[in-house]
Amino acid sequence: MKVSFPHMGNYYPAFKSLMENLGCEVLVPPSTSRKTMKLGAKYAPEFSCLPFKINLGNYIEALDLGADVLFQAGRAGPCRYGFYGEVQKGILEDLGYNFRMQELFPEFGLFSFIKGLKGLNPEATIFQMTKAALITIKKINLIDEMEHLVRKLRAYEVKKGEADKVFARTLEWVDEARTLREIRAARRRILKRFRAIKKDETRSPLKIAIVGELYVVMEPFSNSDIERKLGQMGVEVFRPLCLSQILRHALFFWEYRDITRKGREFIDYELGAHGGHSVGHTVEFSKKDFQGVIHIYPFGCLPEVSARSILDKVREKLNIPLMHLSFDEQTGETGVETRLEAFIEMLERKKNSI
Amino acid sequence: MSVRVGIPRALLYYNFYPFWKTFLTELGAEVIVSPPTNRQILSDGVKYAVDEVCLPVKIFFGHVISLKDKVDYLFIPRIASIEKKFFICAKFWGLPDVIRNSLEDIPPLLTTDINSNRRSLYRSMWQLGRRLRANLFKIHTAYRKARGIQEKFLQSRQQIRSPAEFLALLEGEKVNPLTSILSPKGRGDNKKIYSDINVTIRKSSSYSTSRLGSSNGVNPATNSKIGLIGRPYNIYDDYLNMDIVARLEEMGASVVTPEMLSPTLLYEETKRLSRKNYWTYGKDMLGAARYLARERVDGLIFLISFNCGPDSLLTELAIRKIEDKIPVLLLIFDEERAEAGMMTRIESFMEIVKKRKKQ
Repeated sequence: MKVSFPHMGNYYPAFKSLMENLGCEVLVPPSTSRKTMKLGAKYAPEFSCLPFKINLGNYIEALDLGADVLFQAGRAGPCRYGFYGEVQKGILEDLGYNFRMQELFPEFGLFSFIKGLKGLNPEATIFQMTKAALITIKKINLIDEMEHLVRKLRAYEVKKGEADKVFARTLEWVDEARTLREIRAARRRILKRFRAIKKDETRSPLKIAIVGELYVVMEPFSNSDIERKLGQMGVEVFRPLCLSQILRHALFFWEYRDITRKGREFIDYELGAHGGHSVGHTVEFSKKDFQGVIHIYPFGCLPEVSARSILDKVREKLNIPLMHLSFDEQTGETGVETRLEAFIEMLERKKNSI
Repeated sequence: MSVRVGIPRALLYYNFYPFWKTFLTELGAEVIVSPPTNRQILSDGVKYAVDEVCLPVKIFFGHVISLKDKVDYLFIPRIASIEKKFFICAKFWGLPDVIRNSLEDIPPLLTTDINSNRRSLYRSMWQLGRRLRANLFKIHTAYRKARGIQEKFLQSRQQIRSPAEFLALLEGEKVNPLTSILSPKGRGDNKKIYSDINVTIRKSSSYSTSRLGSSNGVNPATNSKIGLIGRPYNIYDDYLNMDIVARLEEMGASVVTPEMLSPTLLYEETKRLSRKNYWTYGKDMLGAARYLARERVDGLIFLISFNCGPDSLLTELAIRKIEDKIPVLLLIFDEERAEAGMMTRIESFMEIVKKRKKQ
């Protein structure tokens, strides 16, 4: 039995260790590429959203390599995401593949993931599951910490591209760590390695925040690698939304609500998924030392399109530069680049004139 | 002078108008509904809404604009969920916020949070009543009465024979649904309306399952039955769907919509098709599609509006999973209104249906 999962950002070491610790054989799908997206777009319904298409492409590539259990997060809120598993299963079955789809959250409720984990390996003990979950969470936290560092370092590094190289290298260390102790040791090594990167502290780069839909925000392939592009232009990027934040909100749910509340001047209700957060964070950042906000989402994303209409008002009232970018499989890389350059130039001019 | 409250004739108007109207009128408000969708409303909506939202929301914007000078309040509730463990599409979650932030100088919104996963409908309506400064007793009776009317509406809409009758029923005034459309058993029951207000949707299993098989379900002059699958605001908004119902009827088809089937039946059917479906109206669509395909309607037409999130996956699932092979047509509407293209598709679809029927 080979288990596979769709890619999301750089989190594959964490997903992998979750399944390995449950005693499954894991097949990491080939990293997301143009081919993945084309495969996905070919078989997906016409106006399903971008994450659906990329997920489907990941699955097809994994199935071609011999996977027979596919993993999907499952049940979630009012947006399309919770429905992915079922529709993808139908599509893949019609393509003639033989497999089983296992969802992490087969039902509603905080503890339904026990059922999901049992589905991967029916003989897994509670101890095994706890261990697997702990290791996964630690790895996710570590990866997020590293990403956070990279986003900051890109603006300050002396040698362009060094931070990215170090990141790619150290991600392998995370992947290799097997136990909690090894993860701790890896973390020390990684932080040391990052500290060794030469920085130019005299710079005062622009600071930009990225808000939006969780998949597109986290998966560099789907957003034309917007963070790295900004970093190369010498911009310090801040991104509040990451997987460890989502896990945290699953436990401390009031924090989730608190972020939306920050935008209460504009919204009274949750918009579903992270739509409310896009507004709340933008309001928050406009009061801090951020020069601009970029709002990214897949074309037609339900909560984020609502957020977009509201964000336009936020921009007007709080006077914070804001740009929307919506992505689908047609989005051209150069187009995004041009828009980013124009946006950055505008921000720089604004900053210098003050 | 009483407060004038405006209800846009779009989106969930087609599901809850009897309830809203009764409740607001009982509290002493004057209810004003926007005119049926027309060219002006559509172009206003397209102008003011974000270009990526779906067509029905754009039309909703248009209706709000057409109402804004005529009313003191706009009634736009925030509807997140009307059944436990089921949701309404995420676009309804932020609707009042979106309207408030995208349109300038509109009257204050009369809004309440309807979310049955969190709180009861009674509490939501209670809050709404307080906004209108009604006294406690009045709110209570208004709620009970509105609930009763809504139950009656849900019950009698299963007995309708055409979408036109549905609209009449929705208005509640042009045709008195309680006497003219109800089956003979229910006729003359007018006094009973208020006595069985405690009937809830869950108990609806005792309703008649469907009128499909019976003689009054089919127009005797015609020979084909077409199932129209879609959200109420796509099916019953004649301007949005370019009079598809009238056109089908002209071609000699009688039209069946999900609203003519019983909620319980739809729930049972959809469970067999998809265990994970969590959209209330997705449930109606999937259930109706499966049931109608099995009951041998001669063809299914899916009506979707462009960029509708849930429908993009739901129709895909429905088309893949329905075992009974019948002709299926997928019509996607957007603000461009390509009428000729749609006509050609419907005509050729009807040809296929007729040919298939002859064999």
